[in-house]
Amino acid sequence: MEQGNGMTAPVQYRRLPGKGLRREGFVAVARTWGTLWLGRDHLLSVDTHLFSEDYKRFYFRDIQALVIGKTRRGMVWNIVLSLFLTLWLLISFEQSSPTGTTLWLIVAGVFALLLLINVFRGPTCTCYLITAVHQEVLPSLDRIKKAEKVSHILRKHIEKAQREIGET
Amino acid sequence: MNTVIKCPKCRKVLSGEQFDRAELSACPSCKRLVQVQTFPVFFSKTTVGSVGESLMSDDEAGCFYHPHKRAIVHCQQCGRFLCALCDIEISGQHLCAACLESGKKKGKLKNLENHRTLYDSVALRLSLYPLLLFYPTFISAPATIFVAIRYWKTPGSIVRRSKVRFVVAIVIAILEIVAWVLLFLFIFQVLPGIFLEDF
Repeated sequence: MEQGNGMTAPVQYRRLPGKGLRREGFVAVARTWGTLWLGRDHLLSVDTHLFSEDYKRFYFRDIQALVIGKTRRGMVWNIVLSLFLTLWLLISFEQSSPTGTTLWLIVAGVFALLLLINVFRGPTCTCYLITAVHQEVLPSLDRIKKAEKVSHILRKHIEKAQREIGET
Repeated sequence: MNTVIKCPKCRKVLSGEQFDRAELSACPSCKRLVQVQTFPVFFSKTTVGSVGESLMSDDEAGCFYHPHKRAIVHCQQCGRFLCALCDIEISGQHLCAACLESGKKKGKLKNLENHRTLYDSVALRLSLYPLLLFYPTFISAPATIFVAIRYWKTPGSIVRRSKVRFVVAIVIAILEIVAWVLLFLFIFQVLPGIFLEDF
């Protein structure tokens, strides 16, 4: 949807699964959330800050590869949550009053829920998009399940766009 | 193929045997599980861009920026003749570098836009965050309404279209202002009456 005078009509984007934190250094002052959106001929990476957004476009004809690398972050969180769950359970069993026991069991329940969610979401990963000139990390694809789902969606569009280039 | 793919963990170059496997496979160096999916252009040769051909005769049109190079196209914004080196093709249009820069600055080239301020988020946070202490809402509530009205028509996120954040911010700000009005009415009209009755 483009006009010859340089003005372009709004592009319609479809949201791809996933939302992840862009990790910038050990301590980041403000959180930046990354999401991916599918355009007609490109992939749009949106970094959402507190009051602004940054956009990067990756045209399908330029995408050479997607690299998914499993990380240990999910396993580390499982261990940390399990340790805290065990701690709260032990404390709750040590309580003399029913009220104290109930309160600590509630806290333990919260951590049990977080642990279940982490296990259910599957192993963590980092995902890179490779072009001829650079590699871009896609923070929204931080779980292997999500990354494989999105790569399956992207593959169809990328191969179609690159086939059309080959034909012309 | 010209691009080298490295393991995300140990940065060692991965071999072609690891490409396009159905499942994750171990990196030969660090044993971290990796999956590489390549696309057709990964295997194609890199094409070298043209630097423009020299003028062969005086009858040929020359480039505006390189008078000794043959013009092959004109800029669709300003009409200047451009050689192969100066021609920038974007979204099917041929532009010169100057028009590309001015188009980006003026926001005419939507495909180059890479940053937007989200005034709807500014208004919403301005209405919500001061509620933690309540007293700052005396200033933030009118400020919220000002921001919402002033930037109502300013383009928001290119992926979100609705004005719901502005509407919610205005509603919250109005409720805060009503709360302050009721508070003042209580202080200046109801309380004096209670004190007078006591005395």
